Amino acid sequence: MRKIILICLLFLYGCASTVQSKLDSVQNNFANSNFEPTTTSDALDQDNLDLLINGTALFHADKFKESDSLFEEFNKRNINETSSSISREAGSLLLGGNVNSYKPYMMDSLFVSYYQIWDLLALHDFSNARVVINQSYERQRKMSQEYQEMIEKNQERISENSQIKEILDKNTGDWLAFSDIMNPALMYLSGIYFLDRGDFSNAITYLKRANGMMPENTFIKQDLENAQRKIRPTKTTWQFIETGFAPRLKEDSASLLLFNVGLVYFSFTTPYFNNNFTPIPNSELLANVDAMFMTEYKEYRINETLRSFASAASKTALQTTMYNSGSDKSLLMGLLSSVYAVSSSNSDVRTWATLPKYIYVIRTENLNKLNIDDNIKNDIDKNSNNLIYTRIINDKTTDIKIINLR
Amino acid sequence: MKKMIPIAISVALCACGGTSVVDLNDTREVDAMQHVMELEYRDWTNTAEKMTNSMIESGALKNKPVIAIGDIVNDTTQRIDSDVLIKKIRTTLLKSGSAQITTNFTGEDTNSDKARALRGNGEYDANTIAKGGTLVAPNMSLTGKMLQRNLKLDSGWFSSVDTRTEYYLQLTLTDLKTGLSVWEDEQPIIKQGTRAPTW
Repeated sequence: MRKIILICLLFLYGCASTVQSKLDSVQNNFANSNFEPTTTSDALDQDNLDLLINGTALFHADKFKESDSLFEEFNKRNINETSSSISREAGSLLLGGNVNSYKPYMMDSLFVSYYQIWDLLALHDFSNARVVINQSYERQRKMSQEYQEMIEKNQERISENSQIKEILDKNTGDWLAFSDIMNPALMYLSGIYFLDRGDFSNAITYLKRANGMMPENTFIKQDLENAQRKIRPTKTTWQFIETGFAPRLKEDSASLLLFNVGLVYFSFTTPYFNNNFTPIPNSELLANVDAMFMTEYKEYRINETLRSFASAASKTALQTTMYNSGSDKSLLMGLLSSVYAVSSSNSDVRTWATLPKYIYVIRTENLNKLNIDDNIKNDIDKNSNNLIYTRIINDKTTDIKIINLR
Repeated sequence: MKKMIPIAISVALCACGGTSVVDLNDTREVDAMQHVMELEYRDWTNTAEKMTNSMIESGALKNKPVIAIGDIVNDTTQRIDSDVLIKKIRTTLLKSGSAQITTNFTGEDTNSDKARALRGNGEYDANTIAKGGTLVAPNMSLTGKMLQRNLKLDSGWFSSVDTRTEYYLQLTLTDLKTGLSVWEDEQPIIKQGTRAPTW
């Protein structure tokens, strides 16, 4: 019997690492220019994370309509990123973090809008691109409000759990985060959209926000000045360059001695960063996705860890009761409760693993300053405004899309 | 009697769900349709009717102009095909005989160009091919915008209504000769409910 239980424990440990290997395989596929969706099932049947990963994969594969429709399905699910249902909480508490459908970060939802705008611009569907920009503005406004509420709640909760706070604060010195939910790349892209169309009032709104988020970026400043002076740029090309991969999460654990219960082992997540970085000549930083992720992750981490600790404490109490039950089967019951405790204590390590680490931008009227091969430059209409989307995944893989704004 | 009760309950439950077709000629049935926060059939119909009447009554169409339908900017957070509104206005204008609509100029109809490309094609009777100088240029342009604003309401604990969505449908008729606006109108549609339509 003990052998069976040990095999079960090993098997369940294997299940916990499945999520990691799935995300590794998604990133490897990207690195090898394999942009096939992870599943061919209908959008309605796909998990939230599959919708995000497959939406980007289809975008890279130039299947813009299909990509847009997966992102639309994600939007229609109307997921509230900051609140949780009772069933969801119960699922996490009893069976661990990976049992529920993927709960997107607010950042994910803003990136959905970002990629949808690219999808629609690539399709030259300027009318619906405007609708998505409007949606993203509304989204960002709402998220900013919810984020501030979440910070207030968390500060209150964590102050009551100083030992957990101490564990979470270890090795976080190099974490960079913002004070609000934002996506400057989304704001700048929206600003360019309006500026190119001569809608200066809307252009100012978005460019001001982008400028506020990235005050060092001189290209944003230049466009904001243009919008304020009602000057529509001509023969200008904006190249957005995405590099690397966004942070991923790994499972970590710690223990705390709890009075009347014993030593409680609980799990939590820790981010790890992809540090492959190649400087892009003539470019300026537009978005630090690492910092965008950390802005909200550090808040969710408090919630998740407190939940994990509460769950682990109750399971430890169950184990102790089983082992000390005094019955003939106390050892068996104790082992079974241990299996349950190990199998159901995993933390949610899922993230939208194909998002970039950094987004750079080049704004130029001189095509020689762009970060693309000379033979591709011939595809650019020199007499009009253009947007170029570029994704540099590694030395071998680069995805380039040239969009004429005429 | 006892046997009848479950049957009656089943019938009642069946009647609650399922699909039904609304008879658009029955005003009571249309009025009884459930209200939604998105723009829907009644909004389009009422707005188109008010807009068309306003245009006709303004006197801007007294010379039976040829109108080119231009851009209707969708500044909402919903993917709406502006044809839902415009088609109704066009058909009402055409039926009223107060204006004509060009479809060649706006590129909606490509067949009139294709028909002209047949000139010199021996397979076609030359007399049935449109002669040069027969297309009619527009002398007015109809453009517009659809706007949406979502407002949060200060609702009480027991109130399910917490959002107001204001839609504004704006149309402008411009005289192409002078570039002057000869008619403009705006129709607001205000809805209150639980959640602003975003997708």
